[in-house]
Amino acid sequence: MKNVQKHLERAIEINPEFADAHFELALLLVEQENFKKARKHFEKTIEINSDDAKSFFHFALLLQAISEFELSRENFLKAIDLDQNFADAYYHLGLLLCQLEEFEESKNNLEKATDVDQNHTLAYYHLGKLLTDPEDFEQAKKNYLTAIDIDGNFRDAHYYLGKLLKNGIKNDKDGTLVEEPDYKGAQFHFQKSIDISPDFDKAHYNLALVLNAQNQDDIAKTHFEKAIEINSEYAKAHFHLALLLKAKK
Amino acid sequence: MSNSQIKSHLELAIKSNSHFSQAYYELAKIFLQEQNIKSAIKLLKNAINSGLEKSSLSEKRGKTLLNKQQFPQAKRHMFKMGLSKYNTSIYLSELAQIYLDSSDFKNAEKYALHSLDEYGNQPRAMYILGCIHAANKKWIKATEWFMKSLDLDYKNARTHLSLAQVKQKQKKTIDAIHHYLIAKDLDKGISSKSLDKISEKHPEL
Repeated sequence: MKNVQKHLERAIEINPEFADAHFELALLLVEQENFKKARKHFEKTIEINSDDAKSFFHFALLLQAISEFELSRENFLKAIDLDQNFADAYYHLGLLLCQLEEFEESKNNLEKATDVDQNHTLAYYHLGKLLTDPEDFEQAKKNYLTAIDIDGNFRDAHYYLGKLLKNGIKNDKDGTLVEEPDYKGAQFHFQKSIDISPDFDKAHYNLALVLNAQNQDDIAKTHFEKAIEINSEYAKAHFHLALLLKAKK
Repeated sequence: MSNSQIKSHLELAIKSNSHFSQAYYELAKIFLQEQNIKSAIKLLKNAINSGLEKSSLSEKRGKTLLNKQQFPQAKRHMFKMGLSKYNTSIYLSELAQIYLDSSDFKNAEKYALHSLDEYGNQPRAMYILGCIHAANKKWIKATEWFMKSLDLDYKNARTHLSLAQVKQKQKKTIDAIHHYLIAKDLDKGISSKSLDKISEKHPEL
């Protein structure tokens, strides 16, 4: 890696206006978490070639990493301006906006990412997580299912879909708020996330809750205990195991 | 199943999360059952403090999001705040009940009123306030609180019985019998010699 860096630095020495060399060196420096130096090279890349969406995009990522959020947003927008089919730029801008608590705009950008790239698993997944309002229940479910459809082993998509189904808080057809948990569906997805990642403490805990709600106390107890075995400081698991033991008394 | 295993898990939950208000509350209930009042009070106070902290955090978060016009997320936090206030009102009324049982009316009133501050429709706090006024022979006020409590929780035998006793003191025999009979309907175990006696005089009711 040091060799690559040396050659890139030499190339820049020979030709200080070599945009690609500045760009590659900046990426290398980001990998090394040398953000200060990387920033200079990104700035130089953009100065030389202001038409490259990729440079703006990677510069925006760096700015996000060093918490210069407004500047990061500007650079994502420049990247999108230059390439309106840049799915990852929409996706990361969506994540940045979520971090900035601009949720509606975040949703719009994540949706745009899925419009451009219909296999953008992560965009579907994050969109599902953002759709927390009861009236968005079906839409959130659809997004998780799409993510799972593309990648059946997407553990977190199974897990969050499980949580969505477990709570079942949604608006019915006439707009009334209803609570219709789908325990069987939730159980399936929690189990799936455990199959993918057997030491997933939260999945064991949530599976136990769902089993408990279906009066399958013995299996529920096993999963609470498993969650505690994985994470001995899991407060909620201890609490609900205590409630289960109390109910069995 | 002994209480020790249950207590141990609740204690571990609190050790892992010292702001776990529900765990404090559940543990307090066990101590109460075991007549360890001092520990129950201490735990209930911890539950209340954690609950108040949680409500305040959710409210702050909700307001920040409201200012940013992020309505669905703000709604979620405001809902959390409401739930936390409701739970805290339960812890407060439980504590008020302990003080009422030990005839410490001053503290009982303080915590019952605080319970209503957190959640205005808390029937148990209203019942406790009714009992405090009844103990002080303030029959009108006691009746008002018992009636308010019944408006929210009509099927509470204990409240009907207390109201019947107050009505009896006010010499409102028909009302007293009415509430006494409802109390008995709701809970077969309820019995009061004096109310039974006046009920027998009015078989038509």
